[in-house]
Amino acid sequence: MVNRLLGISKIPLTLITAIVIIIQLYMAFYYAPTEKYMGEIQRIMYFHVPSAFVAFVAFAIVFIGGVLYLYTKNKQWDYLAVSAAEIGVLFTTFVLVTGSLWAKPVWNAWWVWEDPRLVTSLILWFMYIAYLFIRASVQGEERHRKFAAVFGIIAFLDVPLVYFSVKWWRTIHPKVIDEQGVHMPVEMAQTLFFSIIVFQFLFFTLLIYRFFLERQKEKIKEIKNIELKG
Amino acid sequence: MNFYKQTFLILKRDLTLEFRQKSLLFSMIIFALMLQVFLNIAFDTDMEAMQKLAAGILWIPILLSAMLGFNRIVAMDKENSVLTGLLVSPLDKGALYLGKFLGNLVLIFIVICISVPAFFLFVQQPYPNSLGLLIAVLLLGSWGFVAMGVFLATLAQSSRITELLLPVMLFPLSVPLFLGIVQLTEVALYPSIEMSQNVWLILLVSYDILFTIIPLFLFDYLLEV
Repeated sequence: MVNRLLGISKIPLTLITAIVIIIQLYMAFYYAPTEKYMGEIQRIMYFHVPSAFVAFVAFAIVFIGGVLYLYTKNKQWDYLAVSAAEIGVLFTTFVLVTGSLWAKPVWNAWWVWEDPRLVTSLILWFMYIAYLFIRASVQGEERHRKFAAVFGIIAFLDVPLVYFSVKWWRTIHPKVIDEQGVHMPVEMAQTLFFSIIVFQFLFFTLLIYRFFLERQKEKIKEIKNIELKG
Repeated sequence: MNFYKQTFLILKRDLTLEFRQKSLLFSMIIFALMLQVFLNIAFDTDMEAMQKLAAGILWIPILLSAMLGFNRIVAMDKENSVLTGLLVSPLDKGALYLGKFLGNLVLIFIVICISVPAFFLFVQQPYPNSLGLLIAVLLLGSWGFVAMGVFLATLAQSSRITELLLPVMLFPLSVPLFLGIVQLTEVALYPSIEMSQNVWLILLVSYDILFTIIPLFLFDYLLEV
């Protein structure tokens, strides 16, 4: 039932996503005013921040998918988790790259250890790469699903600890760079808010397609197994 | 048999095996000492700069030699289908985890007992600023690392790349723990460094509790199939 619904909504959702992305690009590059101090480079925010939101939602889905898979043993939840994990890694990479590009002219360094969000993103990236490693290397169909789910749960629970520990690490020591207190004009705030929503659309579109791909892969495997046995 | 009795039996079995063979324990100790030497050579520096490096030189040998132990102590059960036997027996899976965890912890404590005095010898640092804090950090730090390590090593066993997968999983997950122990060790070693310790102690304790309890519940999933 749910699958049918998702199947039907696939094409319209893609179209909507395409349209809102065009609007988002227009807003990010023309509608939003140029920032006074940082200049044009600040526009990277409209891609950087939404990607971070996507990454976080993706990893929350990995967690939820893992819990539900272990609880119900329904493979569909695992398909969802693996799809979200892959997209999450992709967007985390995007967060790290855009973050570096933004940091270089503004903070005068590609990387700073002072920002807990930045460091947390990197650790998060490592964790979910490990998650994909488990899926690729653990032997046994059911086993790698289960192990990945277990690791996804633990990793997600670890994220807040990572965030706060990095934060304390740098705030307890003397700190040089302070938060840029950007008091945003309305247009900027609107663009940012809109971008966050647009990226969620993009995420769910990708998620649905990846989900169906995973399901088809499994179906092909099943068919092959039947043929081999028969 | 109740839960604690089962845990104790597993612990006793693991330790008996280890103390009869001794090979693992000895190689862990030698490895830790050797790393100390290497790190001291690498960071060859004066007393003042050492303040910044000391915590790392103290901990890296302990953590890496612990890593050696994890794979071994978990792989032990694969020989002669011991694990199958354990799974058939009416043993609580949580007790199996807890027993293995405690057994590994004992090994790490022994490594610490030799590696840490060696550290003071090599670094020529006469006496820690606060011995109590140092011991507390050593206990809490190795507790958390071993709890996570034994659990993930069990997970990594059925992978094609066991030895590689374990650090790839373990290191990012122990970032909070590592930050905590490094900060606290600095304070414990040198009087000149001022820092609020409570926040880190709370972090270490909550990490330890969280990642000892969660594996107790999830360990089942790593064993069945």
